[in-house]
Amino acid sequence: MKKLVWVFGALLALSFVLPEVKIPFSWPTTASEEVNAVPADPTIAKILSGASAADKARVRSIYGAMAVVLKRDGGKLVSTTEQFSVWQANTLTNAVDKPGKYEGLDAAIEARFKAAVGTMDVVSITPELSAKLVDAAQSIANAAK
Amino acid sequence: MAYENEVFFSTPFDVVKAYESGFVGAVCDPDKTDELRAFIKASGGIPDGALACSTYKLEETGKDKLSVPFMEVLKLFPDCLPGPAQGRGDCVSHSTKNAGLTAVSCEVTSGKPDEVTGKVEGAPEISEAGRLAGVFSTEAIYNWRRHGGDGWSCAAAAQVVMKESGLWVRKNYPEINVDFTTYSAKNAGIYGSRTPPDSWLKIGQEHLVRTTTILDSYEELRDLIHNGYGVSSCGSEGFSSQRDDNGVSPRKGGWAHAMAYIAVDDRPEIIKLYKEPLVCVQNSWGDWNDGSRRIYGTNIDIPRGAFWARWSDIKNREMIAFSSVNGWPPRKLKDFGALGRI
Repeated sequence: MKKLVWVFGALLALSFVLPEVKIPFSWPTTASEEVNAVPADPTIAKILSGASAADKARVRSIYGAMAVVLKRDGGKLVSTTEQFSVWQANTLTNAVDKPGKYEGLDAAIEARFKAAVGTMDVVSITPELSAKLVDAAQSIANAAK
Repeated sequence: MAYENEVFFSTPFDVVKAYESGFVGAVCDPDKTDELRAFIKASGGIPDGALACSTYKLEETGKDKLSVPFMEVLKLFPDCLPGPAQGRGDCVSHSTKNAGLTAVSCEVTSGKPDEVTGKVEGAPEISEAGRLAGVFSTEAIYNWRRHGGDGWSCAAAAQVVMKESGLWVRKNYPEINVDFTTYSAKNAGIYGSRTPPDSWLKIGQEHLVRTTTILDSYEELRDLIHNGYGVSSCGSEGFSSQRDDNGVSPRKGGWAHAMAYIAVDDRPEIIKLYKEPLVCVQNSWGDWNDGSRRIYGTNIDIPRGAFWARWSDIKNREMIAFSSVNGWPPRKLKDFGALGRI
Protein backbone atom coordinates (compact mmCIF):
# COMPACT_ATOMS: atom_id res chain seq x y z
CA MET A 1 0.00 0.00 0.00
CA LYS A 2 2.79 2.35 1.02
CA LYS A 3 4.52 1.68 -2.32
CA LEU A 4 1.34 2.49 -4.24
CA VAL A 5 1.04 5.83 -2.43
CA TRP A 6 4.59 6.64 -3.49
CA VAL A 7 3.91 5.67 -7.09
CA PHE A 8 0.77 7.79 -7.34
CA GLY A 9 2.52 10.65 -5.51
CA ALA A 10 5.35 10.52 -8.02
CA LEU A 11 2.93 10.48 -10.97
CA LEU A 12 1.02 13.44 -9.54
CA ALA A 13 4.23 15.41 -9.03
CA LEU A 14 5.31 14.52 -12.58
CA SER A 15 2.04 15.85 -13.95
CA PHE A 16 2.78 19.28 -12.50
CA VAL A 17 6.39 19.28 -13.70
CA LEU A 18 5.67 17.87 -17.18
CA PRO A 19 2.01 18.66 -17.90
CA GLU A 20 2.27 17.81 -21.65
CA VAL A 21 3.72 14.33 -21.18
CA LYS A 22 1.22 11.51 -21.60
CA ILE A 23 1.56 8.68 -19.14
CA PRO A 24 1.85 5.46 -21.18
CA PHE A 25 -1.13 3.54 -19.83
CA SER A 26 -4.87 3.92 -19.92
CA TRP A 27 -7.67 2.95 -17.60
CA PRO A 28 -10.39 0.66 -18.94
CA THR A 29 -12.86 2.60 -21.01
CA THR A 30 -16.36 3.09 -19.73
CA ALA A 31 -19.45 1.68 -21.36
CA SER A 32 -20.51 4.97 -22.91
CA GLU A 33 -17.11 5.44 -24.50
CA GLU A 34 -17.10 1.96 -26.03
CA VAL A 35 -20.47 2.01 -27.72
CA ASN A 36 -21.27 4.57 -30.37
CA ALA A 37 -24.08 6.93 -29.61
CA VAL A 38 -27.28 5.76 -31.30
CA PRO A 39 -30.69 7.43 -31.28
CA ALA A 40 -32.98 6.50 -28.41
CA ASP A 41 -35.82 4.16 -29.32
CA PRO A 42 -38.84 6.53 -29.40
CA THR A 43 -41.44 3.93 -28.37
CA ILE A 44 -39.43 2.87 -25.34
CA ALA A 45 -38.65 6.50 -24.46
CA LYS A 46 -42.37 7.26 -24.48
CA ILE A 47 -43.20 4.26 -22.27
CA LEU A 48 -40.50 5.26 -19.79
CA SER A 49 -41.28 9.00 -19.86
CA GLY A 50 -43.12 8.80 -16.54
CA ALA A 51 -40.77 6.28 -14.93
CA SER A 52 -38.88 7.03 -11.74
CA ALA A 53 -35.23 8.03 -11.98
CA ALA A 54 -34.24 4.78 -10.28
CA ASP A 55 -36.19 2.64 -12.77
CA LYS A 56 -34.75 4.55 -15.72
CA ALA A 57 -31.27 4.10 -14.30
CA ARG A 58 -31.91 0.35 -13.96
CA VAL A 59 -33.02 -0.01 -17.60
CA ARG A 60 -30.12 2.16 -18.73
CA SER A 61 -27.54 0.13 -16.84
CA ILE A 62 -28.93 -3.25 -17.96
CA TYR A 63 -29.01 -2.42 -21.66
CA GLY A 64 -25.91 -0.24 -21.61
CA ALA A 65 -24.00 -3.14 -20.09
CA MET A 66 -25.53 -5.57 -22.58
CA ALA A 67 -24.36 -3.35 -25.43
CA VAL A 68 -20.81 -3.33 -24.10
CA VAL A 69 -20.71 -7.08 -23.51
CA LEU A 70 -22.19 -7.82 -26.95
CA LYS A 71 -19.66 -5.52 -28.57
CA ARG A 72 -16.73 -7.13 -26.77
CA ASP A 73 -18.03 -10.62 -27.52
CA GLY A 74 -18.66 -9.99 -31.22
CA GLY A 75 -20.66 -13.23 -31.56
CA LYS A 76 -18.00 -15.53 -30.10
CA LEU A 77 -19.66 -16.65 -26.87
CA VAL A 78 -23.21 -15.50 -27.56
CA SER A 79 -23.05 -17.02 -31.00
CA THR A 80 -26.69 -17.55 -31.97
CA THR A 81 -29.89 -15.57 -31.49
CA GLU A 82 -31.16 -18.46 -29.38
CA GLN A 83 -28.28 -17.94 -26.96
CA PHE A 84 -28.96 -14.21 -27.01
CA SER A 85 -32.58 -14.85 -26.09
CA VAL A 86 -31.61 -17.05 -23.14
CA TRP A 87 -28.99 -14.54 -22.05
CA GLN A 88 -31.41 -11.60 -22.10
CA ALA A 89 -34.09 -13.65 -20.31
CA ASN A 90 -31.68 -14.67 -17.54
CA THR A 91 -30.32 -11.14 -17.20
CA LEU A 92 -33.80 -9.66 -16.80
CA THR A 93 -34.93 -12.40 -14.42
CA ASN A 94 -32.02 -11.53 -12.13
CA ALA A 95 -32.15 -7.76 -12.58
CA VAL A 96 -35.84 -6.86 -12.57
CA ASP A 97 -37.87 -7.21 -9.37
CA LYS A 98 -41.33 -6.37 -10.70
CA PRO A 99 -41.86 -7.26 -14.35
CA GLY A 100 -44.83 -5.56 -16.03
CA LYS A 101 -44.57 -2.28 -14.10
CA TYR A 102 -44.44 -0.31 -17.38
CA GLU A 103 -47.05 -1.65 -19.77
CA GLY A 104 -45.75 -2.48 -23.21
CA LEU A 105 -42.08 -2.10 -22.30
CA ASP A 106 -41.28 -5.80 -22.81
CA ALA A 107 -43.04 -5.87 -26.20
CA ALA A 108 -41.28 -2.66 -27.29
CA ILE A 109 -37.90 -4.13 -26.38
CA GLU A 110 -38.78 -7.33 -28.24
CA ALA A 111 -39.77 -5.28 -31.28
CA ARG A 112 -36.48 -3.38 -31.18
CA PHE A 113 -34.43 -6.59 -31.20
CA LYS A 114 -36.65 -8.18 -33.82
CA ALA A 115 -36.12 -5.17 -36.05
CA ALA A 116 -32.36 -5.55 -35.56
CA VAL A 117 -32.29 -9.28 -36.33
CA GLY A 118 -34.97 -9.25 -39.01
CA THR A 119 -36.20 -12.80 -38.38
CA MET A 120 -37.49 -15.06 -35.64
CA ASP A 121 -35.39 -17.91 -37.06
CA VAL A 122 -32.47 -18.98 -34.92
CA VAL A 123 -29.47 -17.58 -36.77
CA SER A 124 -25.79 -17.21 -36.06
CA ILE A 125 -24.60 -13.91 -34.68
CA THR A 126 -22.21 -12.74 -37.37
CA PRO A 127 -20.06 -9.62 -36.78
CA GLU A 128 -22.63 -7.62 -38.78
CA LEU A 129 -25.56 -8.89 -36.73
CA SER A 130 -23.59 -8.38 -33.54
CA ALA A 131 -23.19 -4.70 -34.45
CA LYS A 132 -26.95 -4.41 -35.00
CA LEU A 133 -27.68 -5.99 -31.62
CA VAL A 134 -25.23 -3.59 -29.96
CA ASP A 135 -27.04 -0.64 -31.54
CA ALA A 136 -30.41 -2.03 -30.47
CA ALA A 137 -29.31 -2.51 -26.86
CA GLN A 138 -27.78 0.98 -26.79
CA SER A 139 -30.91 2.55 -28.28
CA ILE A 140 -32.92 0.97 -25.46
CA ALA A 141 -30.40 2.26 -22.88
CA ASN A 142 -30.52 5.72 -24.42
CA ALA A 143 -34.32 5.71 -24.28
CA ALA A 144 -34.09 5.49 -20.49
CA LYS A 145 -32.13 8.73 -20.09
CA MET B 1 -13.26 -58.94 -50.55
CA ALA B 2 -13.50 -61.04 -47.35
CA TYR B 3 -15.33 -59.69 -44.33
CA GLU B 4 -15.46 -60.94 -40.74
CA ASN B 5 -18.69 -62.48 -39.47
CA GLU B 6 -20.89 -60.34 -37.22
CA VAL B 7 -19.22 -59.74 -33.86
CA PHE B 8 -20.70 -57.71 -30.99
CA PHE B 9 -18.72 -55.87 -28.31
CA SER B 10 -19.99 -55.28 -24.78
CA THR B 11 -17.49 -52.67 -23.58
CA PRO B 12 -14.93 -50.26 -25.05
CA PHE B 13 -12.24 -52.63 -23.75
CA ASP B 14 -13.63 -55.40 -25.97
CA VAL B 15 -13.56 -53.09 -28.99
CA VAL B 16 -9.96 -52.04 -28.40
CA LYS B 17 -8.90 -55.63 -27.83
CA ALA B 18 -10.61 -56.83 -31.00
CA TYR B 19 -9.09 -54.15 -33.25
CA GLU B 20 -5.66 -54.68 -31.69
CA SER B 21 -6.00 -58.39 -32.39
CA GLY B 22 -6.61 -57.90 -36.09
CA PHE B 23 -10.36 -57.36 -36.29
CA VAL B 24 -11.18 -55.72 -39.63
CA GLY B 25 -13.49 -52.72 -39.30
CA ALA B 26 -12.21 -50.75 -42.25
CA VAL B 27 -11.07 -52.16 -45.55
CA CYS B 28 -9.09 -50.62 -48.36
CA ASP B 29 -11.09 -51.14 -51.55
CA PRO B 30 -9.55 -49.33 -54.55
CA ASP B 31 -12.52 -50.31 -56.71
CA LYS B 32 -14.90 -48.51 -54.33
CA THR B 33 -12.63 -45.45 -54.33
CA ASP B 34 -12.69 -45.42 -58.15
CA GLU B 35 -16.48 -45.80 -58.04
CA LEU B 36 -16.74 -42.87 -55.64
CA ARG B 37 -14.49 -40.76 -57.83
CA ALA B 38 -16.70 -41.48 -60.85
CA PHE B 39 -19.86 -40.80 -58.86
CA ILE B 40 -18.59 -37.43 -57.59
CA LYS B 41 -17.67 -36.45 -61.14
CA ALA B 42 -21.04 -37.58 -62.51
CA SER B 43 -22.78 -35.51 -59.80
CA GLY B 44 -20.96 -32.38 -60.91
CA GLY B 45 -18.47 -32.40 -58.05
CA ILE B 46 -14.70 -32.35 -57.90
CA PRO B 47 -13.23 -35.69 -56.79
CA ASP B 48 -9.70 -34.37 -56.50
CA GLY B 49 -8.98 -32.46 -53.27
CA ALA B 50 -6.20 -30.32 -54.72
CA LEU B 51 -8.41 -29.22 -57.60
CA ALA B 52 -11.29 -28.51 -55.19
CA CYS B 53 -8.98 -26.31 -53.07
CA SER B 54 -7.76 -24.33 -56.06
CA THR B 55 -11.22 -24.05 -57.64
CA TYR B 56 -12.79 -22.67 -54.46
CA LYS B 57 -9.69 -20.59 -53.60
CA LEU B 58 -9.06 -22.42 -50.35
CA GLU B 59 -5.35 -23.01 -50.89
CA GLU B 60 -3.15 -21.92 -47.97
CA THR B 61 -6.17 -20.70 -45.98
CA GLY B 62 -5.29 -22.99 -43.08
CA LYS B 63 -1.54 -22.31 -43.18
CA ASP B 64 0.06 -21.46 -39.81
CA LYS B 65 -3.32 -21.75 -38.08
CA LEU B 66 -5.05 -23.84 -35.48
CA SER B 67 -8.33 -24.95 -37.10
CA VAL B 68 -10.86 -26.49 -34.72
CA PRO B 69 -14.17 -27.21 -36.46
CA PHE B 70 -15.12 -29.61 -33.65
CA MET B 71 -15.83 -26.50 -31.58
CA GLU B 72 -18.69 -25.66 -33.94
CA VAL B 73 -20.06 -29.17 -33.37
CA LEU B 74 -19.90 -28.79 -29.59
CA LYS B 75 -21.33 -25.27 -29.75
CA LEU B 76 -24.52 -26.66 -31.31
CA PHE B 77 -24.55 -30.06 -29.63
CA PRO B 78 -22.67 -29.99 -26.31
CA ASP B 79 -21.18 -33.32 -25.20
CA CYS B 80 -22.18 -35.10 -28.42
CA LEU B 81 -18.60 -36.29 -28.95
CA PRO B 82 -17.28 -38.96 -28.76
CA GLY B 83 -20.80 -40.46 -28.94
CA PRO B 84 -21.48 -44.06 -28.08
CA ALA B 85 -18.69 -46.62 -28.15
CA GLN B 86 -18.96 -49.01 -31.09
CA GLY B 87 -20.83 -52.19 -30.30
CA ARG B 88 -19.64 -53.93 -33.47
CA GLY B 89 -17.26 -53.38 -36.37
CA ASP B 90 -19.18 -50.38 -37.69
CA CYS B 91 -16.36 -47.83 -37.35
CA VAL B 92 -16.79 -46.67 -40.95
CA SER B 93 -20.33 -45.49 -40.25
CA HIS B 94 -19.16 -43.67 -37.08
CA SER B 95 -16.34 -41.96 -38.97
CA THR B 96 -18.71 -41.07 -41.81
CA LYS B 97 -21.32 -39.76 -39.39
CA ASN B 98 -18.76 -37.62 -37.53
CA ALA B 99 -17.52 -36.15 -40.80
CA GLY B 100 -21.12 -35.31 -41.75
CA LEU B 101 -21.79 -33.87 -38.29
CA THR B 102 -18.76 -31.59 -38.58
CA ALA B 103 -19.81 -30.38 -42.02
CA VAL B 104 -23.41 -29.69 -40.94
CA SER B 105 -22.34 -27.88 -37.77
CA CYS B 106 -19.90 -25.62 -39.61
CA GLU B 107 -22.53 -24.81 -42.21
CA VAL B 108 -25.07 -23.88 -39.54
CA THR B 109 -22.75 -21.74 -37.42
CA SER B 110 -21.37 -19.95 -40.48
CA GLY B 111 -24.83 -18.42 -40.94
CA LYS B 112 -24.33 -18.59 -44.70
CA PRO B 113 -27.26 -19.56 -46.94
CA ASP B 114 -27.30 -23.09 -48.35
CA GLU B 115 -25.63 -23.04 -51.76
CA VAL B 116 -28.49 -24.94 -53.41
CA THR B 117 -31.66 -23.82 -51.60
CA GLY B 118 -30.43 -20.32 -50.70
CA LYS B 119 -31.92 -20.68 -47.23
CA VAL B 120 -30.04 -20.19 -43.98
CA GLU B 121 -30.20 -23.57 -42.33
CA GLY B 122 -30.53 -24.40 -38.68
CA ALA B 123 -29.46 -27.20 -36.42
CA PRO B 124 -32.00 -30.03 -36.22
CA GLU B 125 -34.16 -30.50 -33.15
CA ILE B 126 -32.63 -33.21 -31.04
CA SER B 127 -33.50 -34.82 -27.71
CA GLU B 128 -30.91 -34.93 -24.96
CA ALA B 129 -30.57 -38.70 -25.38
CA GLY B 130 -30.11 -38.28 -29.11
CA ARG B 131 -27.53 -35.53 -28.66
CA LEU B 132 -25.49 -37.57 -26.22
CA ALA B 133 -25.68 -40.51 -28.63
CA GLY B 134 -23.94 -38.46 -31.30
CA VAL B 135 -26.84 -36.49 -32.92
CA PHE B 136 -27.01 -38.56 -36.12
CA SER B 137 -27.59 -42.28 -36.53
CA THR B 138 -24.67 -44.46 -37.57
CA GLU B 139 -26.96 -47.46 -37.95
CA ALA B 140 -28.93 -45.79 -40.76
CA ILE B 141 -25.68 -45.60 -42.73
CA TYR B 142 -24.27 -49.00 -41.80
CA ASN B 143 -27.40 -50.88 -42.92
CA TRP B 144 -26.43 -49.99 -46.50
CA ARG B 145 -23.14 -51.89 -46.46
CA ARG B 146 -24.80 -54.78 -48.34
CA HIS B 147 -22.94 -57.71 -46.81
CA GLY B 148 -23.66 -59.93 -43.84
CA GLY B 149 -20.48 -59.47 -41.84
CA ASP B 150 -18.76 -56.43 -40.42
CA GLY B 151 -16.30 -53.96 -41.88
CA TRP B 152 -16.68 -51.52 -44.77
CA SER B 153 -14.76 -49.05 -46.88
CA CYS B 154 -14.80 -45.26 -46.34
CA ALA B 155 -15.35 -44.69 -50.05
CA ALA B 156 -18.38 -47.00 -50.17
CA ALA B 157 -19.91 -45.31 -47.12
CA ALA B 158 -19.27 -41.86 -48.63
CA GLN B 159 -21.17 -42.90 -51.72
CA VAL B 160 -24.07 -44.15 -49.59
CA VAL B 161 -24.45 -40.83 -47.73
CA MET B 162 -24.35 -39.01 -51.06
CA LYS B 163 -27.04 -41.00 -52.81
CA GLU B 164 -29.00 -43.34 -50.54
CA SER B 165 -28.87 -42.69 -46.84
CA GLY B 166 -27.64 -39.29 -45.66
CA LEU B 167 -27.85 -37.98 -42.11
CA TRP B 168 -30.66 -39.25 -39.90
CA VAL B 169 -31.34 -37.33 -36.70
CA ARG B 170 -31.32 -39.63 -33.68
CA LYS B 171 -35.04 -40.12 -32.92
CA ASN B 172 -37.82 -42.65 -33.26
CA TYR B 173 -38.89 -43.49 -36.82
CA PRO B 174 -42.29 -45.19 -36.40
CA GLU B 175 -42.79 -45.27 -40.18
CA ILE B 176 -40.03 -47.88 -40.45
CA ASN B 177 -40.56 -49.22 -36.94
CA VAL B 178 -37.04 -48.42 -35.75
CA ASP B 179 -35.99 -46.19 -32.87
CA PHE B 180 -32.65 -44.55 -33.60
CA THR B 181 -32.72 -42.26 -30.52
CA THR B 182 -29.85 -44.15 -28.96
CA TYR B 183 -27.17 -46.28 -30.56
CA SER B 184 -27.87 -49.97 -31.07
CA ALA B 185 -25.30 -52.30 -32.58
CA LYS B 186 -28.14 -54.72 -33.40
CA ASN B 187 -30.04 -52.02 -35.31
CA ALA B 188 -26.91 -51.41 -37.37
CA GLY B 189 -27.29 -54.88 -38.83
CA ILE B 190 -31.01 -55.17 -39.57
CA TYR B 191 -30.48 -55.58 -43.32
CA GLY B 192 -27.08 -57.25 -43.46
CA SER B 193 -26.44 -58.29 -47.04
CA ARG B 194 -29.85 -57.05 -48.23
CA THR B 195 -30.59 -53.56 -49.51
CA PRO B 196 -32.88 -51.56 -47.19
CA PRO B 197 -36.39 -51.01 -48.63
CA ASP B 198 -37.83 -47.89 -50.26
CA SER B 199 -39.23 -46.68 -46.94
CA TRP B 200 -35.63 -46.32 -45.70
CA LEU B 201 -34.48 -44.78 -48.96
CA LYS B 202 -37.19 -42.12 -48.71
CA ILE B 203 -36.07 -40.97 -45.26
CA GLY B 204 -32.41 -41.38 -46.11
CA GLN B 205 -32.67 -39.02 -49.07
CA GLU B 206 -33.94 -36.08 -47.02
CA HIS B 207 -30.51 -35.00 -45.79
CA LEU B 208 -27.94 -36.27 -48.24
CA VAL B 209 -24.34 -35.09 -48.29
CA ARG B 210 -23.99 -33.25 -51.59
CA THR B 211 -20.24 -33.01 -51.93
CA THR B 212 -17.34 -35.28 -51.13
CA THR B 213 -13.74 -34.91 -52.20
CA ILE B 214 -10.89 -37.41 -52.02
CA LEU B 215 -7.77 -35.97 -50.40
CA ASP B 216 -4.18 -36.85 -51.20
CA SER B 217 -2.06 -34.40 -49.21
CA TYR B 218 -1.70 -32.68 -45.88
CA GLU B 219 -2.21 -29.26 -47.44
CA GLU B 220 -5.59 -30.29 -48.87
CA LEU B 221 -6.63 -31.72 -45.51
CA ARG B 222 -5.46 -28.61 -43.63
CA ASP B 223 -7.22 -26.15 -45.92
CA LEU B 224 -10.50 -28.07 -46.16
CA ILE B 225 -10.71 -28.64 -42.39
CA HIS B 226 -10.01 -24.94 -41.90
CA ASN B 227 -13.01 -24.24 -44.12
CA GLY B 228 -15.40 -26.44 -42.16
CA TYR B 229 -15.26 -29.68 -44.12
CA GLY B 230 -15.61 -32.93 -42.14
CA VAL B 231 -13.15 -35.70 -42.97
CA SER B 232 -13.60 -39.46 -42.72
CA SER B 233 -10.47 -41.62 -42.85
CA CYS B 234 -9.72 -45.31 -43.23
CA GLY B 235 -6.38 -47.01 -42.60
CA SER B 236 -4.36 -49.55 -40.67
CA GLU B 237 -2.53 -47.36 -38.13
CA GLY B 238 -2.92 -47.93 -34.40
CA PHE B 239 -2.24 -45.36 -31.66
CA SER B 240 -1.34 -45.30 -28.00
CA SER B 241 -4.21 -44.88 -25.55
CA GLN B 242 -2.05 -42.39 -23.64
CA ARG B 243 -2.01 -38.73 -24.73
CA ASP B 244 0.96 -36.51 -23.87
CA ASP B 245 0.66 -33.11 -22.14
CA ASN B 246 -0.67 -31.58 -25.36
CA GLY B 247 -3.07 -34.40 -26.23
CA VAL B 248 -0.75 -36.07 -28.76
CA SER B 249 -0.68 -39.86 -29.08
CA PRO B 250 2.17 -41.72 -30.79
CA ARG B 251 1.71 -44.67 -33.16
CA LYS B 252 1.30 -48.04 -31.50
CA GLY B 253 0.29 -51.27 -33.21
CA GLY B 254 -2.16 -51.53 -36.05
CA TRP B 255 -5.94 -51.27 -36.40
CA ALA B 256 -7.97 -51.79 -39.59
CA HIS B 257 -10.09 -48.86 -38.55
CA ALA B 258 -11.98 -45.75 -39.63
CA MET B 259 -11.81 -42.47 -37.69
CA ALA B 260 -12.85 -38.88 -38.35
CA TYR B 261 -10.52 -35.86 -38.45
CA ILE B 262 -11.93 -32.91 -36.55
CA ALA B 263 -9.10 -30.35 -36.29
CA VAL B 264 -5.67 -29.45 -37.65
CA ASP B 265 -2.85 -27.62 -35.88
CA ASP B 266 -0.49 -25.95 -38.34
CA ARG B 267 0.86 -23.28 -35.99
CA PRO B 268 4.62 -22.63 -36.25
CA GLU B 269 5.06 -23.30 -32.51
CA ILE B 270 3.52 -26.77 -32.92
CA ILE B 271 5.69 -27.54 -35.93
CA LYS B 272 8.70 -26.42 -33.89
CA LEU B 273 7.66 -28.63 -30.97
CA TYR B 274 6.68 -31.79 -32.90
CA LYS B 275 8.68 -31.17 -36.11
CA GLU B 276 5.46 -31.43 -38.12
CA PRO B 277 1.77 -30.45 -38.02
CA LEU B 278 -0.86 -32.33 -36.03
CA VAL B 279 -4.27 -33.69 -36.96
CA CYS B 280 -6.96 -34.28 -34.33
CA VAL B 281 -8.52 -37.72 -34.68
CA GLN B 282 -11.94 -38.52 -33.22
CA ASN B 283 -12.21 -42.19 -32.37
CA SER B 284 -15.52 -44.02 -31.83
CA TRP B 285 -14.60 -46.20 -28.89
CA GLY B 286 -16.05 -43.98 -26.16
CA ASP B 287 -13.64 -43.17 -23.31
CA TRP B 288 -10.89 -45.49 -24.47
CA ASN B 289 -7.85 -43.22 -23.89
CA ASP B 290 -6.28 -41.09 -21.13
CA GLY B 291 -4.05 -38.06 -20.70
CA SER B 292 -4.33 -34.34 -21.33
CA ARG B 293 -6.92 -33.01 -23.75
CA ARG B 294 -5.71 -29.41 -23.58
CA ILE B 295 -4.59 -27.84 -26.88
CA TYR B 296 -1.10 -26.38 -26.58
CA GLY B 297 -1.12 -22.67 -25.73
CA THR B 298 -4.92 -22.45 -25.43
CA ASN B 299 -7.68 -23.12 -22.92
CA ILE B 300 -9.46 -25.41 -25.39
CA ASP B 301 -9.87 -29.15 -24.80
CA ILE B 302 -10.25 -31.67 -27.60
CA PRO B 303 -13.30 -33.96 -27.17
CA ARG B 304 -13.17 -37.12 -25.09
CA GLY B 305 -11.99 -40.13 -27.05
CA ALA B 306 -9.97 -37.91 -29.42
CA PHE B 307 -6.21 -37.44 -29.76
CA TRP B 308 -3.74 -35.49 -31.87
CA ALA B 309 -1.72 -37.50 -34.38
CA ARG B 310 1.43 -36.40 -36.16
CA TRP B 311 0.77 -35.96 -39.87
CA SER B 312 3.55 -38.46 -40.76
CA ASP B 313 1.73 -41.11 -38.68
CA ILE B 314 -1.48 -40.84 -40.71
CA LYS B 315 -0.24 -39.74 -44.12
CA ASN B 316 -1.02 -43.10 -45.77
CA ARG B 317 -4.67 -43.19 -44.73
CA GLU B 318 -7.53 -42.75 -47.18
CA MET B 319 -9.21 -39.37 -46.55
CA ILE B 320 -12.60 -38.21 -47.79
CA ALA B 321 -13.85 -34.69 -47.07
CA PHE B 322 -17.58 -33.92 -46.77
CA SER B 323 -19.43 -30.66 -47.25
CA SER B 324 -22.74 -29.13 -48.30
CA VAL B 325 -25.28 -31.28 -46.52
CA ASN B 326 -28.92 -30.80 -47.44
CA GLY B 327 -29.73 -29.44 -44.00
CA TRP B 328 -32.61 -28.55 -41.75
CA PRO B 329 -34.84 -25.46 -41.64
CA PRO B 330 -33.89 -22.94 -38.97
CA ARG B 331 -35.50 -23.29 -35.57
CA LYS B 332 -37.86 -20.51 -34.55
CA LEU B 333 -37.33 -18.28 -31.54
CA LYS B 334 -40.24 -18.01 -29.10
CA ASP B 335 -39.05 -14.49 -28.24
CA PHE B 336 -35.84 -12.55 -27.73
CA GLY B 337 -35.96 -13.01 -23.97
CA ALA B 338 -37.69 -9.81 -22.82
CA LEU B 339 -41.37 -10.81 -22.96
CA GLY B 340 -42.86 -10.92 -19.47
CA ARG B 341 -39.53 -10.26 -17.80
CA ILE B 342 -39.35 -6.45 -17.60
